[in-house]
Amino acid sequence: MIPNKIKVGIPRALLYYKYYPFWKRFLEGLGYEVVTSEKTTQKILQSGIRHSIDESCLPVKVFCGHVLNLIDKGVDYLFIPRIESVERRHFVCTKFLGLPDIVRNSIGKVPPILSTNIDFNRRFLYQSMFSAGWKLTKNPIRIHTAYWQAKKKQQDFEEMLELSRTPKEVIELIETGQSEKLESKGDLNIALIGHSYNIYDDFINLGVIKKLQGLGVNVFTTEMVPQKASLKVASKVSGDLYWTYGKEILGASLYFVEKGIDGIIFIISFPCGPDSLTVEYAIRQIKGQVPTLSLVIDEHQAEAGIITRLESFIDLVKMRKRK
Amino acid sequence: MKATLPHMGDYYICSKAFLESLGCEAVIPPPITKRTIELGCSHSPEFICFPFKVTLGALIEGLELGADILIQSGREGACRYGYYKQVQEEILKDLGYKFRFVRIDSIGSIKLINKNVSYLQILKALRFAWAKMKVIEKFESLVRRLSAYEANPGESRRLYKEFLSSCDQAESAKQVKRVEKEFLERFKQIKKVPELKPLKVGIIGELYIVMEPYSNLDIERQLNQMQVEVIRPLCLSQILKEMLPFSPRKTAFRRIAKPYLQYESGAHANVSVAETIIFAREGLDGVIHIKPHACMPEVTAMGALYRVSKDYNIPVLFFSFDEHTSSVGLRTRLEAFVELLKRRRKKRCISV
Repeated sequence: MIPNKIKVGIPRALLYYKYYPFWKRFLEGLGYEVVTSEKTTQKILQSGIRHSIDESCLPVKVFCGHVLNLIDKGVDYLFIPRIESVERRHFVCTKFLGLPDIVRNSIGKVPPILSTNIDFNRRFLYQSMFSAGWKLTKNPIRIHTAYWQAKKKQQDFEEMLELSRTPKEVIELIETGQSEKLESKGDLNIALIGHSYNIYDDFINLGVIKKLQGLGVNVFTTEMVPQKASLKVASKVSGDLYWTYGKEILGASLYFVEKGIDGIIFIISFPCGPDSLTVEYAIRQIKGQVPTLSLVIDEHQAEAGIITRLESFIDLVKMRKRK
Repeated sequence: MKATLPHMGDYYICSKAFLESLGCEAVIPPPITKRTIELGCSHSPEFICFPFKVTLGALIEGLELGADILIQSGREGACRYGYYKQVQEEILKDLGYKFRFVRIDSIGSIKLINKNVSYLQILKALRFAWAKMKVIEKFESLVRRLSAYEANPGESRRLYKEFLSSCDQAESAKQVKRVEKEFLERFKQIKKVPELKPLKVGIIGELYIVMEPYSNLDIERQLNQMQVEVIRPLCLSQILKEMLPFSPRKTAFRRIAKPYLQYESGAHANVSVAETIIFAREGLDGVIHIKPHACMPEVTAMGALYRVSKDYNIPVLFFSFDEHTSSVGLRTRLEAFVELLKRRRKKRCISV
């Protein structure tokens, strides 16, 4: 038994919105206390920018900020897995490939990083998680049970997502037992497409969801499309797209077009590599069937520009609908 | 059947030899100019990396010359390069061109260019192109070093141009060998300044920017003009070798870079870091890291390179290229860097 629980930190950034329930249950199952960083604030963003290469993309800078926040909280370990792929014969963005290295190189003094190589092309998730667990406890039975419990938790999480809730709400629901649900009362349906870490971080996207709801719009997000459906649509259009999350974006946008959505807003963080190609490809596939807007968010937080563009886009969609 | 592929350095000679021995007509797009880049930029997505824009422009220029088969060589990795083809295809189709886009990433896929060729023919074509590639690379690296201390500035580059045209005319591997022998002799006759000990600078980074002189504003020639010897291990034959399933060189590089990059970070990030460490061990004066703006793997490498630079006490200069990079800015920064290296060397000489 561990008398004083050792604290493992999980940054509230990047893939937090996809796998947090899994990671949390796994680490708790091993008898560790999980600490997450605060929600993104100006301070977190600024400290992240200070500590990263200026050409890094916004989410990585924010990630560094969250790591620094966790260090301030005094965690004993940082849980930063290195992810190469989450699907066979596919990859994720190269930034995830080097994430532990980026953190180690750019922040300098960090608590020991608990990282594991998640690569569905070469090994099973079980192997990766087992080797991560082995660094924390030498009890294989405990790791085994923790893994399966975590897997169950993640399944529950994904099922809840399909009931048209956002990951952020579900995580809040799991954590605190309550959450505000996205209200739907407007007469326009707009899909907000982008990476989970850009859409659900209200600080870096300047509260796009709230702003849209204020304009009387029902917001749908990428995660509300069942993952299987979006991947299937994407494979049909571009079989050789090899980024899993890029596929989700392409698939979800085309899925919404089929379902007769009124407009699509792509949220892209500057300068996102995969999105620069996939969003272009998606827009060229949509071919003006539906109005699209690509909204680039960056670290300068220019709110007025975003409001103007959103308002004019909504006006355009409304006019089109009236016709 | 007219096939084209974008320029990369002087490798158009190899691709021409390769395509012609497959029975295609090779369309060599005009050398990359401002127009190429403007064409590419005006049809490209917003913050795509620079090689995408250059290659798109070059493909359009190839299509204007009547090409109907476009070729992209290379294999998918986690980096953006693997998805160039699909998006460029979509863009060019929307522009109204008629063509076939082929990606070559294995021996079998070469048949997509011309399905009537036999495997024997393909192997022969590969061997011929490989022979030319090796010779070109040999003289290229020779010029990069020689230009720093030749007595008549520009002489070796002039000779190199001559070599390129005779290499282009060679029709068999045997003739290539003969050309090699002839020019090796002539390169030996170039007069050098014997007492000059030029600075040695290594160039590393993203492969397209490193290998295409127009996209890096001819950084190598600029350095040579400042009497700096340039060492650049990255070349096409190395990259092709690294694509093989088992590459001892790549494994060795990963091991060297391990203290800084624990994991494989995609594309050439680990190689860039390892090569900097090797340069430092070999006692080079400095390293220049070049990449297109926001190149994903190389940005990961940059974080590690800052640490390598500190730990091994070797100056590293970083450049990002895109269509807005100005040659004056580059020149100023290079001059300052070279000045710094000179001073460092003087200091080191005194302290030793």
